[in-house]
Amino acid sequence: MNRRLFAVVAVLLAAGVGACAESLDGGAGCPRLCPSQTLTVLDTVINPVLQFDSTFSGFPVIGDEQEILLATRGDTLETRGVIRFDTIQTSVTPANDTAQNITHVDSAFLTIVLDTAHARIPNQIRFELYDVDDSVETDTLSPPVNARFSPNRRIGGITIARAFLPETLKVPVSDSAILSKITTRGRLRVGVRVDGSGPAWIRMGSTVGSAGAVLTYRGSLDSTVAPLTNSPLSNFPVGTLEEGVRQGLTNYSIVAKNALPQFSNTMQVGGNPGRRAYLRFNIPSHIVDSSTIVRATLVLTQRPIPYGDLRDTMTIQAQVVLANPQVTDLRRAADIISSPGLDVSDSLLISPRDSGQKTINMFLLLRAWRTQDALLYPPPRAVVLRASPENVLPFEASFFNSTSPVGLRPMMKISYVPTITFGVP
Amino acid sequence: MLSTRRLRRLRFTPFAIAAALCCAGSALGAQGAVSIQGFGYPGGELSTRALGMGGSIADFDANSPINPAALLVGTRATVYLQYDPEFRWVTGSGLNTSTITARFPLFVVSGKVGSNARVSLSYSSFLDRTWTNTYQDTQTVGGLRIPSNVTALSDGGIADIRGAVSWTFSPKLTIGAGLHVFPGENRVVFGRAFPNDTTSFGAFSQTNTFNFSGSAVSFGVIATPLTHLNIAASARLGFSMHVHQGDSTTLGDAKIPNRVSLSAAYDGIGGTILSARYGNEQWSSMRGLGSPGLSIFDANEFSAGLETAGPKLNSIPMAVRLGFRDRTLPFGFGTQQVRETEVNAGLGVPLSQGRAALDLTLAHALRSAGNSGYSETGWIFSLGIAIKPY
Repeated sequence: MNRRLFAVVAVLLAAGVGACAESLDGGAGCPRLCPSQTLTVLDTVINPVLQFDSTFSGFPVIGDEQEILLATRGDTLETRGVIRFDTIQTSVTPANDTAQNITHVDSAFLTIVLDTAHARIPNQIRFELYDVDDSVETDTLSPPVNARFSPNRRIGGITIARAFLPETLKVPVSDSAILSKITTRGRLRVGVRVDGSGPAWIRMGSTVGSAGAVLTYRGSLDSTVAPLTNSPLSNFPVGTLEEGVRQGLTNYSIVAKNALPQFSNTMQVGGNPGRRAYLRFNIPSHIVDSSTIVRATLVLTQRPIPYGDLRDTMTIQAQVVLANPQVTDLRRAADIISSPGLDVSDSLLISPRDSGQKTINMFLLLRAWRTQDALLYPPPRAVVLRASPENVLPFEASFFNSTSPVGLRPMMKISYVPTITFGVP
Repeated sequence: MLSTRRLRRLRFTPFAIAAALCCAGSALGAQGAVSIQGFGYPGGELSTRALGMGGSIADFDANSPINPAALLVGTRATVYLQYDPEFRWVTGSGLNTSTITARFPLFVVSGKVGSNARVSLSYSSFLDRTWTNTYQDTQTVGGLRIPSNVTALSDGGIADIRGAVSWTFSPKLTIGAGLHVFPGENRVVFGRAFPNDTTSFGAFSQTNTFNFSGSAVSFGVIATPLTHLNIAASARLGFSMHVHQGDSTTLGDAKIPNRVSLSAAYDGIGGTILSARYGNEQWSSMRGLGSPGLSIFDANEFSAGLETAGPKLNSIPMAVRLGFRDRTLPFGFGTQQVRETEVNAGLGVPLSQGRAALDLTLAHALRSAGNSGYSETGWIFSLGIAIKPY
């Protein structure tokens, strides 16, 4: 009898122990058997959503471009590149001999790396090289440097058919010009521009992107002496504090002409030099601070730029302004921004000629703003719209700004869950 | 205030033995079920022994905090612990789901004071609103219908803590009175994620915590008007109860449900007790605690059972129990009240020469919500351990 009893007790205990491995989820019965299990998601449109906006020009700072845009678009846009060889080799050392000053130069050429993506290349494209050096250090100003792109300063060039355009191009340079520089100042500053049988733009590598140009020449009639190569280098302005500026001037882009129309009541993004739009938001605190944002979409209305091809596209990033309120210079604040993708993972891919509403998802940013209220100096609720990359494509977008009519100005569609009491059956 | 969460920890502590058997100690239950609507499932505050007899002996059972007069039965100091896991299947309209829920619904300490008085302090689960749901459905956001994953979780419930005393006037008459407080805490979490597009739609989750409070008194009597025929009656008179959000905002006021029950037990057959019980609980007095749409009903209960001496273990007979219970549950599904019918069987195993007892009950419950098309089957395994040191 006791054995039977123990068997019964053992079975019952086993059942009890088995229940310890709980299977808790009754979700298969939902939502039919789960009444009231929902939180209402409210939708609202905030218009105007901007406290103000501003457009600032000149981004990135000179010489910080990953690539250098060479563009010639008739009467609307022309950009050029400048490459500094502030130290070039002035002597050669033949085998089994001592160093000798260069008195002869031949086979001089400039090697540039080309990026043909998003390029407009006419059937025949011409690369022209100019001596843009001068006894006066005015390189940081565009007009004097642009003035040196004159025919009498041309020191080299090449015209090449689109079909034969290589990714690494050797542009012949005047041997006598190189020799002159060697024997006089010991430096060379080369201006590069393109032209062709039609609008042309193409990007040239720079030292920032580890694809800087290389100047090569032979400095001896002795064929056993290897050709000399010179990498870009800037020695001016001098001084420790100017090191950043000096490096930026190693190779940089300058705008010779930009006649794209600037509309009123708009904000501009991209173009040459690069423009950024600074957007300061004004969103009711009961939404940002007291609710959970499920979706937030910034709606911009694009104004078409009446130039270029509809197939031309540019990417626009919305980046969060990190400058705290003590930075009152908004242009400076527009340069103190987050990395792309932080809190605003969305971006725009648009054609400058296009029009209509464009949207950027930014719910993560609104959630982040809520948490930033705890900071001693919370940054302003602002983002910067910038082209990506900046100042390396000849595209500029225009959007109606906060002073535009109601239907055109920026607005924000927000879906949110208010903090409510729920869960009472 | 002693929160339910703290009570849940407390109740685990004395159940170290039972808990040690568990491989996962979470006491979460599951909704998406017929029986756990509204403020939760009322276990009935029955001991394992009483459950084995369908609850019919509850008014006579010292370990069921129903009738304070029933303390007379516990002639020795007793510590009583209980563990009630439930296996549940829900079916209907193409639905077939199962859950396993563990509960530790009862803890009682009682003892004798003098020759005629006995006192007891008990904790029991009054309403258990613990469940977890994860499922997929569609949410409209900004006019778009978006697939989403829902996570809904409720943890906690309302407890009944009773201090009771009984007084025996004669072998044929005992009365008792109890003072009840009903602390509780219920944490409700609701969240929704949008896995198909995490860049455009942000997941959200909100948590609300409710605290409950309430009080009541109970009275009871056990009499033996005729030889072998015992009559018991008990009643609980509820006072106000409240639900707060956090510690401040009062969300609702109501009353602890009044309850009455009447029981009879016949022990004229050697070693056997036959019992029956009828009870009524005015759950609708809790209406003010919930939303206007709360589906709440008064509940009736009828139960019958027997306990008889079974095979002996070390010369002490075991108790064999059978029971039946038919009752309605307080919280309905829509407009439909949920009905529960139980068939129960159990054993009482004496241990250590009667200084301890192990009670085992297996209850089979059928629950249905009118013509809703949904029904539920539950197997409740109840294990009670009573330790009577002296």
